[in-house]
Amino acid sequence: MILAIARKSLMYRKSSVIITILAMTISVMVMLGVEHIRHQAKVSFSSSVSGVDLIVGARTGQLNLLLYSVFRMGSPTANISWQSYENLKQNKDVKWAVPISLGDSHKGYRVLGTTPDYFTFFKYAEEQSLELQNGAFFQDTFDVVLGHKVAQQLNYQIGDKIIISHGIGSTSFTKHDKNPFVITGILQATGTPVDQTVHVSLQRLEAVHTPAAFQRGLDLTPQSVTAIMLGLKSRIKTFSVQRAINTDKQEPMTAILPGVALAEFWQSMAVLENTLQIVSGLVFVSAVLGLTAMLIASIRERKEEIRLMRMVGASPFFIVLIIQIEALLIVITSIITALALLVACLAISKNYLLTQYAIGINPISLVTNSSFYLISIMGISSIAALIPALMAYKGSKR
Amino acid sequence: MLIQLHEVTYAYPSNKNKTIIQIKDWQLAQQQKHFLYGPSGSGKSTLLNIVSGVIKPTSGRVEVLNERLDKLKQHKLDKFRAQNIGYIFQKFNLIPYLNAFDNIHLAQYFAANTKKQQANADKTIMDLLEELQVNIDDCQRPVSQLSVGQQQRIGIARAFINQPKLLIADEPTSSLDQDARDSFITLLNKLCANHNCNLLFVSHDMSLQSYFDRTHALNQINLANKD
Repeated sequence: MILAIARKSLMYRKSSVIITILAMTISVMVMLGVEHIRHQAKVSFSSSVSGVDLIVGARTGQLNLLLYSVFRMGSPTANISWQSYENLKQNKDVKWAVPISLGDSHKGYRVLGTTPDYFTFFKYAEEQSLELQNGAFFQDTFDVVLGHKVAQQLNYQIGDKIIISHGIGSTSFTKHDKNPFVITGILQATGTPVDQTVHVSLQRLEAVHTPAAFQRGLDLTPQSVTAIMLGLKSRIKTFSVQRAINTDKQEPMTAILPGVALAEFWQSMAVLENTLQIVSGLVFVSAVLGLTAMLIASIRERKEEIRLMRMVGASPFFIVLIIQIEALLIVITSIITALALLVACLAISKNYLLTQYAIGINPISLVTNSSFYLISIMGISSIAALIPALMAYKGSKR
Repeated sequence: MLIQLHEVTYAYPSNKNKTIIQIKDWQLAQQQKHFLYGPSGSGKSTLLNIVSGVIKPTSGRVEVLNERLDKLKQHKLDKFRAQNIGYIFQKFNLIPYLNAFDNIHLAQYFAANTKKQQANADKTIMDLLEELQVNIDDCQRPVSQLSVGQQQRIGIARAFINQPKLLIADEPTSSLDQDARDSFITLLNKLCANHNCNLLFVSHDMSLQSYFDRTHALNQINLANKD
């Protein structure tokens, strides 16, 4: 009975109710959207590398090394010698060592020179290996394996020939155009920076840079590499190996734990994160104020209605309840609308976020933090609706 | 006794110094049609609120249908009002967003003690609407779409639905012309006789007193407003 009355009462005041629902919907959408994307970005971000125990580069900051080795952002300060790579590979605690070389690009996409081992040992998300969508991993020095997005954006097929440029950016003046590469493999989408990377063999990269030596059969062992990814035999040794590398006498190097560095990096973004949360909180507060204002205005115009209800036998509590139920109906309608819109928006923007920012967004799920938010939204709205409800209560006792 | 007030005073809780109602003794017998003459500003609405139990007096004894209203708890007062008192306002007798049927049903909802009573409600409503010659088809339409005359009849039906023993009509004829007014009062009297209900008719129009058995002038009963 009371629910039907509240519903009909809202329908009767459609225009102001709809606008209130719209304001509420937007605020709930912003709140849940920000929370969801924040959460997803964090997950996506922290899944960009896994299964690698240490990343070694020239002596630099932990953040810098992480950015250029994993995210292909910024530039390496210096390279480390091939000898150091050999030494690390021989270390008794090291299970595998994969060298990577950065610095070249193809149409704006970074080129990563590495060994076939990279595809065996590099993992992302929860220990997931890189998988091929088409073709094969490179075996020969002539081969190139493209990240999913590179192939998709530039519309490359297996067998196409590509040229890489020195430096980064799509308009480099030094093109290694005498030495085309042949695409042998295209990787599946990972939602990590791997998607935007062009993988070539380390030797081949060396050959491109030393054209004189470019002949099959010549020793193309590189002089240096940008960074080395290490897998250890036992994780317990991680810190001792890290210390050994950091204090290496022959060459100044830095070793980082990717997980720790990622977490630390994310920590440094906390300000941004908190700002987003505060803004979405404020948007919600303004929507709740709008709801309260709307209800207060409705109480004014419903004075006679409330008097009538009281005279017919409604208790003051019934009057409070009906206002509360009206507020809750508005909030619940807004939440449902917001969720529907959010699911639709995420579905539409999923591809854009993945390709532009390499953030993989999963469909929204209500089991996580969101349900806490939804309960808070209803709680806060009920508290705010108490103001008009008590006004109605007081008015009805006159 | 129908209504019995003794040493009743009322002042708003927010302004305790200004007494709005001060009644020494006022008694209304059952089985009579009462006319209460109350010009505006005589404390009429407050008195009616006290008699119907919407508010409690600041002091004094209020007895309606032999029930001490000043002693009853709030929820019992609400129930008592719903079950025993029918009320007709000058205007706004119906909730505009509910249809006629739901309006009457709401009054029944507040009066019913059990779910079973609520279930038996529909037939009673239909009978009453038929007695008042309201077209049943109109009952499903929002009341805001109905004519003023129809709305008034539905308002009367709502007031009578719980077989009240006291009907308070608060200026119900102020917006009616002479002919409509006469037929309205005749209808009200007839219904009260049929349903064995006492009538307290309130108006500022002294010329209506000829329709009733007893006349009470509020400005003589209420001693508060003599400044």
